[in-house]
Amino acid sequence: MTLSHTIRIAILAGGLLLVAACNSEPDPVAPVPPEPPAPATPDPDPVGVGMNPHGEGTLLPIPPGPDEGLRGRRRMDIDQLDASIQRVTGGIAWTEGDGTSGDNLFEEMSLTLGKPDFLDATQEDLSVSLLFTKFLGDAARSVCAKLVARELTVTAEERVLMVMASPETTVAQDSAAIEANMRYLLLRYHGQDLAQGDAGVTRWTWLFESSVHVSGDPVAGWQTVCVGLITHPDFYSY
Amino acid sequence: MNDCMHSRRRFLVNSLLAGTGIAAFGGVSPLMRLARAEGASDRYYIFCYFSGAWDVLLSLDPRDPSVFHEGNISDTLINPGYTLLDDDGHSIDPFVTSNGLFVGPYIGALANHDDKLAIVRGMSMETLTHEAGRRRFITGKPPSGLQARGSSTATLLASHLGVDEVIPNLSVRVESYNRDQPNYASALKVSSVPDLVRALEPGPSTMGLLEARQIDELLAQAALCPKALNSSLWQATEDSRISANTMIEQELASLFDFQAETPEMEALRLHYGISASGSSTLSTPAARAATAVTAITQGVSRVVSIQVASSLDTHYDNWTTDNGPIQEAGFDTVAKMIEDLQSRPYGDGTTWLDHTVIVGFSEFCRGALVNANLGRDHSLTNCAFLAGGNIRGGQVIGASSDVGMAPTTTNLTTGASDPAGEVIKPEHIMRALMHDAGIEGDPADLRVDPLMALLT
Repeated sequence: MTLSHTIRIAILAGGLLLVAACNSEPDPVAPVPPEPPAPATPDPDPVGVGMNPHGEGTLLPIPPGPDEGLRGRRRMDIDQLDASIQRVTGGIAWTEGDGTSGDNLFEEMSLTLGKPDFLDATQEDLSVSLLFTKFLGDAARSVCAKLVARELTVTAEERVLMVMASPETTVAQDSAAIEANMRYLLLRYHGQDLAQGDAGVTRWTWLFESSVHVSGDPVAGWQTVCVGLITHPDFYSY
Repeated sequence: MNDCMHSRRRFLVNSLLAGTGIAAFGGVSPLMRLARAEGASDRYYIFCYFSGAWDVLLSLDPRDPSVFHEGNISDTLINPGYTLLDDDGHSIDPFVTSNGLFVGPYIGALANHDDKLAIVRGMSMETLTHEAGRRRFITGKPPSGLQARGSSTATLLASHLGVDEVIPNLSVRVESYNRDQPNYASALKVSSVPDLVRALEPGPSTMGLLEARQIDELLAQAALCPKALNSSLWQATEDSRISANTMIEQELASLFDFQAETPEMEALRLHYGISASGSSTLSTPAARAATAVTAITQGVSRVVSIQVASSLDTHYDNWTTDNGPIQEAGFDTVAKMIEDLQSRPYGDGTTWLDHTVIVGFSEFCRGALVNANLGRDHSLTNCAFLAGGNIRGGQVIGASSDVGMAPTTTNLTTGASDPAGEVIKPEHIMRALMHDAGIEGDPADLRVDPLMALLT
């Protein structure tokens, strides 16, 4: 069996796992839309023809629609995104340099990314445009590469990515440590406090495992997880 | 179907890039055209925005200074003010072009293309606010306060005609709105050409291709979860992610690398006046114009909007020095686009200009009177110009009044002033563009008739 064949099987199996994970998990964020009340049959003329020229209609509000009560997701603005990335990575920004110096590319490309200049534009464009997605991916790849490089040079106490698992740990060696680290990262990046064994953790563990399978390096696996976490809508929308 | 088309287009793009000697300045573009879906309208659009409100007395709607002068300002409420200009040796006299168009002294090289030019005069913008005027023209609808209502006409045209382009709707420093059209029609909005190139290039190569695919797989699966399916933002995210991947796969960045040391790019630089080095030259209207024509003719975009002039908001004595030259530079840029499009064969005996409509606009024009600060304030009236495609050139449509340059009524079919006609508004022009593109009905709900006089 060739390596690429193995990878294909791993990805396919992972994909099936993801579907299963998605389908089996309870959805903690989006509540099931409330059952809309049965439409009230309007009484065409409950009191007969009255003296009020504006009619005798009910003063009760129109029954809520099925989606009412569910808040639409909203994207972070560029300043929030920049700050969030720096927060989760322990201070690494999207720059041309090492992440702690050099021009911040979110600032350099602020106009293109939809920040208002208060000359031509006065409102920030908060759509998840093609351009936003592309540059977010660039930013994630850049900061995550710098983050894992830094993680390898600092003490275990100073790490912010590989906290519960060492850079050498694989799933085969210590699956509990990998899961614990994944739960820690999901809390740090997505604000999701998931229980041990939760299906929401499984998909990320799959990403780590399959990445390690491809690269043979757990550090590369954590880098892939870092990029995935930042480019996931749970990171930049709320 | 789309995958198939993308593959085919990619093949053709790669063929183009691999070709030698005849790439960027014309020769291979018909190949790119073949990569498009059959049956779509062969119409393309470049919207050129003059930001800040132009003084049309200096360009598109002049007045004879021997008739309108300081001696009768109280009667005409029009002061051409040509003698007040700090002309720096530039002619300050309006003139008649070879095709009989009466134009102002700062019309620039656009006058050389008067046979292709349709000027719309006496258009009403119904606002004196920059944002409102700009959004009024872009959408064809009066904004609600400052909030644009409806989608941009560029978005609508891209929606109907650009389904197979990689970037159907490209916008460089021009607002764009998508209220009700599919995601693919949303403008890819960049503020400069270098940002566009950066967007088209693959990101930092810090991760393997397979790892990237694994992330894509995870995100794609996440988008199928209930909370994602219930979220329009999440679904838009997924569309954008797929589109971004497709865009990068096309390897289009080199098409816009105007400083590349190739004969094609050298010719492009020479034509548009772009320097071979330095980053500031890539943020100029000239670079945006080159971007627009390249994007259209190389099969990247169906509609491109660019800002060709800025800083026209001259309320003070900067009007005497700046407004005319800035406008002229913008008109010269448009003229270069016309020449470039005309030089590129489309492949059926016509040129790209025969298929590309250029629309020049500003939010409104400056007032007919010079204020106490030697500047001009805002006016409700406006002009626009169109060229290329099915636009009937060599004509002026409508007129501003000879008292105060107010909007007047025009026969929408003949373009002549007509008391029984209508006051032209941006939506009349937008309806004409849609009609010309073969878009049936009034999908933008503009509720006016098309300005048919624009079309041949």
